[in-house]
Amino acid sequence: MSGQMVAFFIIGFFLLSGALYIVSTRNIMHAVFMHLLTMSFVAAVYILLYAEFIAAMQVLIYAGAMTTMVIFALMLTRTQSSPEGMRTAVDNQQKGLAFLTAAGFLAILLFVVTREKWVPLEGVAKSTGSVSHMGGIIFSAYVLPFELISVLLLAALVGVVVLTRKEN
Amino acid sequence: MNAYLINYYYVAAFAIVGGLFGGLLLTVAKIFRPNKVSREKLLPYECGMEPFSGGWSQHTTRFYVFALLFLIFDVEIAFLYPWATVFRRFGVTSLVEMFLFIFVLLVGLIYAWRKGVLRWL
Amino acid sequence: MAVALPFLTALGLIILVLMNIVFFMWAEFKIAGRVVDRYGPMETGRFHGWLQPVADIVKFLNKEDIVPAQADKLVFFIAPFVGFIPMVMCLVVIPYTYTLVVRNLDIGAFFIIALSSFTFVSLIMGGWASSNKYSLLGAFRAAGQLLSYELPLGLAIAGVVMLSATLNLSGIVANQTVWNIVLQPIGFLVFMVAMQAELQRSPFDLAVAESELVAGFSVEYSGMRFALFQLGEFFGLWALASLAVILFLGGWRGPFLPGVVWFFIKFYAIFIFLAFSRVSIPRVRPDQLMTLGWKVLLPAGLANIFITSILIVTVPDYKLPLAVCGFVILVFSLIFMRRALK
Repeated sequence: MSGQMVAFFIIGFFLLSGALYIVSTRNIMHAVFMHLLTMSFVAAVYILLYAEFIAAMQVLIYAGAMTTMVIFALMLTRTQSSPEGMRTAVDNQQKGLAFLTAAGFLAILLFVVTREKWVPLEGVAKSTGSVSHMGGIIFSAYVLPFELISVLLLAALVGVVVLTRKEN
Repeated sequence: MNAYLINYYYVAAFAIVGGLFGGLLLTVAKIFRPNKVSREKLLPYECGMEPFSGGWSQHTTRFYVFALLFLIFDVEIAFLYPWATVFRRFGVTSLVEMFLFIFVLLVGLIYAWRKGVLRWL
Repeated sequence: MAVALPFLTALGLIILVLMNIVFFMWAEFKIAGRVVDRYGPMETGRFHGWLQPVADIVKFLNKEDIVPAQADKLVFFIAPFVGFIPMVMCLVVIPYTYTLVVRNLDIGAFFIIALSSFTFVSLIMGGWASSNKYSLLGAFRAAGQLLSYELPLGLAIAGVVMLSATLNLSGIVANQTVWNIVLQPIGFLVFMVAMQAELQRSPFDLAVAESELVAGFSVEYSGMRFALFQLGEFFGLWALASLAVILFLGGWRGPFLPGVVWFFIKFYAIFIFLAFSRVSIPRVRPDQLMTLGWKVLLPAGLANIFITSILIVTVPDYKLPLAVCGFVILVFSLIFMRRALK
């Protein structure tokens, strides 16, 4: 049981309990703040996988930008006199169906994961997580998905501008 | 443990020490400070003005648009860093690729600008 | 011992930075006083009031900790830590000389940028947990300001990374035979303006100085909790000022003196520049703030990226054309900035 495995189990424990708290709590803002913590632990898992650049990107985009965006989006849905409104719970009638769907996804994931042949990390991943390697493959082998990302982001931007202008 | 993992062990150690140090500061303050509870002190601080009455939703759309704009350009900057480290290797080709990426997002920014979305906060 | 070494290093560095706070705060008081023809602190500690910051810290220790009755206790407690801990983590990557660095992470510059994105959520947590409509609104506006200026900060750093082809901070300094401020003048301007806005220092301290929002998001925080917010901001100042020295001013490079001395000379020069800027420039309006961030600094940063990349790829000896083009665009940016601040 090397240090890496111990760290992985600790991080995994906190990650899973954070995610469990997000889906089970009755207070939305607590869920959003726990989202911040959970995304940081996902970044820690990336670091254990020797992908330090992706870990930093995870923190920057998910833990930073995404959390603030979710908070502002939550404000949009509570149009009555708002800060107190954000404390109340969100309860859902379809909990049973949601649980079944999630269990189905988990089954598919476990099926794929256990059939795959996994290579040990030490030899392969040490150099492939670095920034220059990432840059090398993005701009040679994966250029088309890269350009499509920009189109996707443009669509999101135009959509938001159109939607918010209609309400004025 | 190789150097990479030791690096991030240091990062985790700094995070833990930072948290403990903040806790230490608060504990030290708890020893020194007075603790006289009174009802007025616990009320929220409002300068005696009326509470919010509508007009809330107009403010919130503005914040949301700025947050989304920030997210989009944040993704762009996150992709700018690996490109900045390797673009010399690939010559003009990678220049064109990245300029195309930036140009598409710049079109979005100019669209938002012209539609008056970037007006005051 | 090897297991405990990181913790001891962390403690040592935190104490080093705290000792510097005393000097910085004193210098800022004195400069702010002298610029308006006053003396600044003169009483506490006999010699020009050098114990004034210590007196301030003791004052924070003695304030009663009032938590509002309707506040969310857990989030109220955690909010300052979410701002403080990432800034302490930034101390890991900063190199003071070629060998005097805690750990040389390969993603050095990007590491600091990623960690400073925690401050957005820290503000909003503080504002929301106070259960006070005005502090919530103040927190949202402050977060909006921070978001708007994080982008130009990232773009300025990307420009420097293009010159040195690595994110490693020691590598960036080792690459600077001529200081990057000459090769990336707009990058330096954008970085300095965005740094002041990120740290919420005057002239950008809207969130904490507006008369109708009192202390903004931290109005319900008293005593040491408030001091923790300020400490987080100070560690952020340390990280960003060190970044400015490393990226643009050549880090520890200099002729006669040892590297550490040069680093701290440049570091204090940046800090004195910030202190002067605080007392000389009037506070900007919110719409001026957003105009400056989105319509001047972001296009300036993108123009910098364009020019730098085109020149590096097409011209083999790119240093002189880069400096000239950078200077030309710098002049244009200053003109646009003046128009935006009308």
